[in-house]
Amino acid sequence: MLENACRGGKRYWILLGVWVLLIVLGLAAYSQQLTKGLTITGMSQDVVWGLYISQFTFLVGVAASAVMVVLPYYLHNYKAFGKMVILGEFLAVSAVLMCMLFIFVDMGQPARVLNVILHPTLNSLMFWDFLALTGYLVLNLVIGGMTLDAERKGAAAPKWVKPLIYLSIPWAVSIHTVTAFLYSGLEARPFWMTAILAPRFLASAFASGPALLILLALILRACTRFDPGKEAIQKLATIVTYAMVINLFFVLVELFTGLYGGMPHHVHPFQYLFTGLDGHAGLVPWIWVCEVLTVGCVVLLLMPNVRKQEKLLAMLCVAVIVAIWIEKGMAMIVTGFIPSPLGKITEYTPTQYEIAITVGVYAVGFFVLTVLYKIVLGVRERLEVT
Amino acid sequence: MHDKAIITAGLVIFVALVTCPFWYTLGAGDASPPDLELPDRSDASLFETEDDYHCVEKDMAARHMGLLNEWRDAVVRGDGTKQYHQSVDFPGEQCEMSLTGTCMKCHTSRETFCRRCHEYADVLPFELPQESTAARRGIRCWDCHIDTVGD
Amino acid sequence: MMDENRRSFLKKAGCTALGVGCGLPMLVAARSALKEGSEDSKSQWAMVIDLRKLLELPKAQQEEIRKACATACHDAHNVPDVPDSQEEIKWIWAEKYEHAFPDQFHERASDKMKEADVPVLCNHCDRPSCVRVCPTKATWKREDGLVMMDMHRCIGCRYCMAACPYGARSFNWRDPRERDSSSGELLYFKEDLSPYPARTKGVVEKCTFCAERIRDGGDPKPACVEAADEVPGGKGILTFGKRTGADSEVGRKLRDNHTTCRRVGLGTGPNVYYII
Repeated sequence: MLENACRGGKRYWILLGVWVLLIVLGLAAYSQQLTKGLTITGMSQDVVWGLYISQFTFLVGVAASAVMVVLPYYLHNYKAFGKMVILGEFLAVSAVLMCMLFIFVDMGQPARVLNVILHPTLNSLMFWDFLALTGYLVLNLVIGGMTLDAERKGAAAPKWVKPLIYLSIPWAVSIHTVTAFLYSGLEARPFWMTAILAPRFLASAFASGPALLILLALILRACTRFDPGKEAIQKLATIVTYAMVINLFFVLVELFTGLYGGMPHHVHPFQYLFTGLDGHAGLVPWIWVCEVLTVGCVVLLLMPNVRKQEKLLAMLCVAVIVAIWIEKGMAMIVTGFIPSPLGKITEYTPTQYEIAITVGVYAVGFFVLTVLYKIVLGVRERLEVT
Repeated sequence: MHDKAIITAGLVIFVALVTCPFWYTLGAGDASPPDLELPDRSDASLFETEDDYHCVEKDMAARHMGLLNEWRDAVVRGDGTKQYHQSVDFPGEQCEMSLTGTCMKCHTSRETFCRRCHEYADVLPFELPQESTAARRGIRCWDCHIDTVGD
Repeated sequence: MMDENRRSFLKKAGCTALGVGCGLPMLVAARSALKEGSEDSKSQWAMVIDLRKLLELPKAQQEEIRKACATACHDAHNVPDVPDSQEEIKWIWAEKYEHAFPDQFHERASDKMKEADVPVLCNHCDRPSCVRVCPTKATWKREDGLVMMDMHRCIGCRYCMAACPYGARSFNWRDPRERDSSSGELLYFKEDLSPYPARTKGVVEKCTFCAERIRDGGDPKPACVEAADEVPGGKGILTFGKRTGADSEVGRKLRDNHTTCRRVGLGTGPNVYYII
């Protein structure tokens, strides 16, 4: 089964080559970070987490969203997702891998990262996040691998895979909940200390993940003979729609709680985001683009005729991903640090090194995704011939 | 079996890579174990008794890493009082667990003492590359801890 | 045939690795959870800063005291002087009243309060948020109340910095003992280094209530307290000692004066008290 990754046409190898080039770029920048320290990033005493952790937050959502295909297919026998499930599971693998890499590149002493396992600290959410992400990675690799292999052999998957699949459903929800708890348990950060953070994360995850999955499915259909099916794509589009609606509702709820009472600790971060605070307005254009896109996507996606046109759907999926990427990344993580607990404002802009390393990590993820999808394609093509 | 050529070539490359630590240093010059510069025994101020000055334990070359780790955890993560090491090889003797306070009293320069062995053995506790002056090339401990001679 | 054997071997090996990988942390965690003693807050070290007395002094003298504290501490502990304010490292420094006490500052505060520079440092809280979130216990609360730092274990994740409501922690964004490439001089230190271990890049650091002086025993005084006492007019501005006990100076000051702490409402239980 795995040898499918080694056989491919020109387009496959060129694509892998592009990812490798970007990985090399990321590695070069990372070696600078190892020797010079994190001073080459744009992070500071006040904004201690930036691009890396924000990408981690976004990608944890994408990883968790695999549950949106697994649940209907395995729990409710929704047969239309038959070909989509494996794509979702392997997307989860790639996303979780990127998450873990982003955390790794963010560390000041990465060689010591195993201290988290050697000295487990049960009260630290980061410890649980480590376990949750590793477990989810292993789960999805095993489930995806075993089910694909079973399909290749034309037999049913071994019996022990079923409980793992059932386990992966709450586990998917838990990885994003644990990540939300990482932020929402800090009394020093009133912007994050809200019960709705975990539900917000999940809602935006279930919008952005399936949207990415739709795009990948459409690309696969255009470039290969693999077709997950129109119904599957349409059902995913419905999921994206409702998730975006709920996400928008959660944003409005947050705005009300933050702004109505007028408490400075609550109001100031929103002020910084939407109108600028004390002359600092770095994120204002970003958040407005995000909200306009969100509202636009909600309005358009709610129309079934729009969803049915796949070209429009593809554009809207891109818009959804961009909107949520801004919302979870720049807006949620960076704003948590502005203003600081002392009331000061330090803005944050990623440096070129950070961007290069980020691109490198994404390239690793997409490399893995390309290889995994190639294996799926290889298995499917073999089956279709026979 | 037209793969034979590729397999043989691969095997040769593999063996060459695996044995490269051996043949790479063949031409690199004198590879004998280094001369450790022990403290000047004629300097009476360094020692409490003139005869029978010895290290904390016997066989320190093999045991110093474990000892240092133990001392580090006891001092840094202990209850905050001074920690004392009870010697195993010299029963009845004790010394304060302190690199600069105890060991470096006699071994005053990491340049002549620590670095010679560690450079020869090429042993760094962590393998990360380090852009720094030559003085730092020795052991990572010296990233932070300061020896009595300076830096 | 070979295929099936290799597969089943790989599967078994994978399962074993998974089991050990999951089981070991649980075992270690259970062991360490059992080993950890209870927090004895009776012997907590604390500090009282007499802000009222400090603010009564002329501005120049106030500045002298604050500077003496910071210099003494930073010199004793090899705290580098990083010029970039975004990356600076500080163990004790001064903040304006509205930044030190944001929950108590109001729009009609007196000019004296608005202009006041308050010495601030790590509060060695009773229920420290930083300790709660550290994934490796590189920072932990010792039995005598000090919130300690283990530079050997810190992985530089900066979660503690995100959690601290007081901005008391600093990260080494660069190598503090970096040297100028041409002259070879240390970039962030003016004089010779003290024997205290400096830090390396990638770890977090903060005030440790001079744990090395507490270790030597006697009547320990942190470097800042000692320095403030030596400035004329500065004696008694900073008081350090056990929070309770018959001859506790800190305890007496807490009983006899109106004191407050920074951001009390957050529930961290700070142990640096300000007489206001």
